[in-house]
Amino acid sequence: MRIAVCVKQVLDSGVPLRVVDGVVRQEAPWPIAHLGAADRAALEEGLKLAGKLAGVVTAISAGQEAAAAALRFCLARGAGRAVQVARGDDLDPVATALAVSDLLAGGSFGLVLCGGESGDGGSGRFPAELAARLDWPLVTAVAAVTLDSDGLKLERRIERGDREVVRCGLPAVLAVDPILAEARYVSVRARRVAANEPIDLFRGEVSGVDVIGDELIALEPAKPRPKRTSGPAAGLSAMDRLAHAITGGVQQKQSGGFVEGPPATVAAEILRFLEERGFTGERRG
Amino acid sequence: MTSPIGRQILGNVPAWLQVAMYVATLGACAVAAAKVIAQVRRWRRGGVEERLLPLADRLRDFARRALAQRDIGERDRLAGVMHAMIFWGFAVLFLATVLTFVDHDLGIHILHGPFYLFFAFVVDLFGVLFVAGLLLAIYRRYVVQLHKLGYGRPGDAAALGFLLLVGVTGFWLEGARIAVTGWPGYERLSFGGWISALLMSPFVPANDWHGVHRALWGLHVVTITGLFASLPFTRLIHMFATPANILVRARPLGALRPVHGDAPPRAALESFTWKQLLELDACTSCGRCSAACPATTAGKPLSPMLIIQHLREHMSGERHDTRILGGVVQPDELWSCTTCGACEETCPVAINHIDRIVDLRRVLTDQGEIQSTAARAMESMLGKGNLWDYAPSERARWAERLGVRVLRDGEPCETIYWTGCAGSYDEQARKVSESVVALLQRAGVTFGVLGPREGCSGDFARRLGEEGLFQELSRRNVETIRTHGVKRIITHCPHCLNTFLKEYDLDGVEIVHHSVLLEGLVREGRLRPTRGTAQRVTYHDPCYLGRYNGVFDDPRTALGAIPQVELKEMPRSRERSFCCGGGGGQVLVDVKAGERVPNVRFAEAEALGVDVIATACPFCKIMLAPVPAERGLEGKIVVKDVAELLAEACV
Repeated sequence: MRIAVCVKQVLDSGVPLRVVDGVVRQEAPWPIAHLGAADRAALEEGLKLAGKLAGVVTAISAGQEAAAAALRFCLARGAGRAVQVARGDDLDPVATALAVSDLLAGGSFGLVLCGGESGDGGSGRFPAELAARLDWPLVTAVAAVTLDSDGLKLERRIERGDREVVRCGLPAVLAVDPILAEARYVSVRARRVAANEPIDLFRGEVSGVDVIGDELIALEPAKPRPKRTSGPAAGLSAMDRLAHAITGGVQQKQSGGFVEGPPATVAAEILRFLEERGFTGERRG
Repeated sequence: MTSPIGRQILGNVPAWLQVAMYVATLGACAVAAAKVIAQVRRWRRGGVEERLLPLADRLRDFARRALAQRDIGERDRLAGVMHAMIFWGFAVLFLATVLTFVDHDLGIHILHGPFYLFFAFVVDLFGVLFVAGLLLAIYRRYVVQLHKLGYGRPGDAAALGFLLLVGVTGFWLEGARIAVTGWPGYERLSFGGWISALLMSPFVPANDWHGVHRALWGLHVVTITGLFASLPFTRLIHMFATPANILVRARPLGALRPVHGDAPPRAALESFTWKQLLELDACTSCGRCSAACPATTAGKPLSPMLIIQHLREHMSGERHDTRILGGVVQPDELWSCTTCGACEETCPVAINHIDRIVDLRRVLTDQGEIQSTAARAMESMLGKGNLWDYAPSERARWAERLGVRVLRDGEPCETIYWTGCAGSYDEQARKVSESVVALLQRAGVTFGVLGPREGCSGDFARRLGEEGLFQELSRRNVETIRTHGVKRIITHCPHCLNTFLKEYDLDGVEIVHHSVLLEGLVREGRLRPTRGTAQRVTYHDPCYLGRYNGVFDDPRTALGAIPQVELKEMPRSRERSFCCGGGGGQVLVDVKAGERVPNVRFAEAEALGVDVIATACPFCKIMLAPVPAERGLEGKIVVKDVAELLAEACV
């Protein structure tokens, strides 16, 4: 099976950054960058699966110099092939996913592994956009992977340390969590050897959408998320608004309940509930 | 005219027996030679050895170790005496046999007259020493069963038995010869043989001496030829391999075997050098290395002797394991080594244990088989130039606060203070940097620091087996040092000192450790430590400063100059110092088994009842400083650098 691992090189967040003329610069005598933790985990898992399946890992990165550096690292770690999607270094996740999906659509890949979030933007959009474009299933927050005759058995990392076990057929896109696999050390010797290995260039046209790189203007400290508040609805009467302010609400709190019965009965009950609360467009007649 | 005093040679031996002896001797020599040639072929499977030590040094070493037998008794006086008795006894007996051959077979008659009297006495004297030495060896190995001699090889007992039989039958034979030749009075000088003859007399009728002599002669020949034939098959092969190993000694302690090219390192006999394979046969499994090893002492899964012996078994085909890593040698053995050099310092046969351990670590590290803490540190060394993942721009923050000149890119400066990673970032070690700076400023020494341009020296990277990273860091650092026109480097850390001195190409640059420089400033009167409080201090020798680079006295002299300091020595000090447990990248690696090495060392200092453990290495301080709190002695025993103590006294 051919396995693709999509990676991105990001600036080391441990080094102070400054934006000068729209360009992010590190306070360091030389640039300090690496693959994000989740990308490293994706690469490790890809190599592990490829080892079990006698497959080959193809590392893919979009961009210019940073992409080439990321791919050389993957080659040094053991990737069999590296493909650089030749685009600008500042592609946004959507544009990157479109470009990479065109590359993947032309190959016979059975599995794509991506870091769930990159080490810089961290939007987590790339895997989702890629899966949508390829029309493949996506599993996010993957913390463990088992491959058996039925396909993939995956553990997802969810809140409070819980794990959700899901099954997924192939081909698929997995957005992995950094805990999926411990990154192994890549020696300088291996990096030196990889520096002379070929990287394939992919210049395919991205169809349907204009791909424009984002322009970075400034780095700003994260703002606190607005606190969710519930104010009285504008359509209430003065009395009801006063009651809302005093009591915290004018509607009686309804307790939840369990619906039991055959599937058709349960589905009908759920639909009725949703219609009553206006979640569906129109009431059934 | 021939003197009546002389040695009768083969007088009572019929010609056919003499012929049989020559045939047997030649046969034994042929068997031994074939085995030696086979072993030499095995050694030659190894790669090229780059020798850095000059011939004169090696000859001096040979005289000291092989001829004077000095190192054998360094840590075990009785063993030294024992081995010298066997060695010199065997040598003299062998020489006596050669002289007998010269006299009888070459017709050069030398064994007569006064020389024979001298010969007779000396040979018997050394014969007695030989037998006594062997009895002592048997006593140590099989009666007392010393723990360090626990490793046994098939044939050990036979080898000792053969040697003893050669010595004992030699005396019996000599006694029988004396009796056969009519008890000449001058033969009393052959006192061993004379006494043997007297002891045998009650059991041998006077007419039977000729027969007994012939029988003993045959037995002696059989034991000698048997011994000769079996020599290379037992641990006695060290009689050839050890002197050869000392003569071809490659490198001083502290200069690891360099690696060239980008071929992946392999764990195979062929990936060792021929010298490293020769060392396997040179090892006598005397156990000194393991007895001195801090990891072995602390109960870690490492015995330097067993690493050598297991590899020897592998080379000789005595083991079922076909893999070296994970079979003959386990990764935890390799990661337990602190590279302190105690094994090499104490090894009487000049084996480089550390080279081999690092060679095998190189394979593990290249395969990514290294603990994540060490992996992260090495990625940080490559990316950020330090092992703790700090930003390079933070490297000289502490110095800027003290008004130290932080050099701009390419700014010339003759003397720089190389603070190292610990001295720049670690809170404990930075106190030392601040003390050194205060003292240098007080003494009027002009210097600068490189700040963000200074990078990790790569000592830990190299000893963790990351040769490529070491090469990269050394290239960057040498380039930086040359760019700034540096003439003198004051190193904060002994690990940087050793690397600069022995592993960097820094010709023309003086490298000095801060403790040596500060002692010089005190001696010159530029620093006056006048303020002191009564304190009992013991000095812990950092391995890379003391054992590796011979700096023992300067830190002690500097401490001695502080008023009211009472210096006490730990039992293991100077060349025999016991590691803090941090060397060889052990600060970054944790092998869980056994006790922590710094705890073992601390207990030694604690037993002295000292107030202060002084040292001169940031990593020793990092390893030892937390121990008092763990043992409930916080505030009662503190760990300080020599520079800190001097700075307190120079206020």
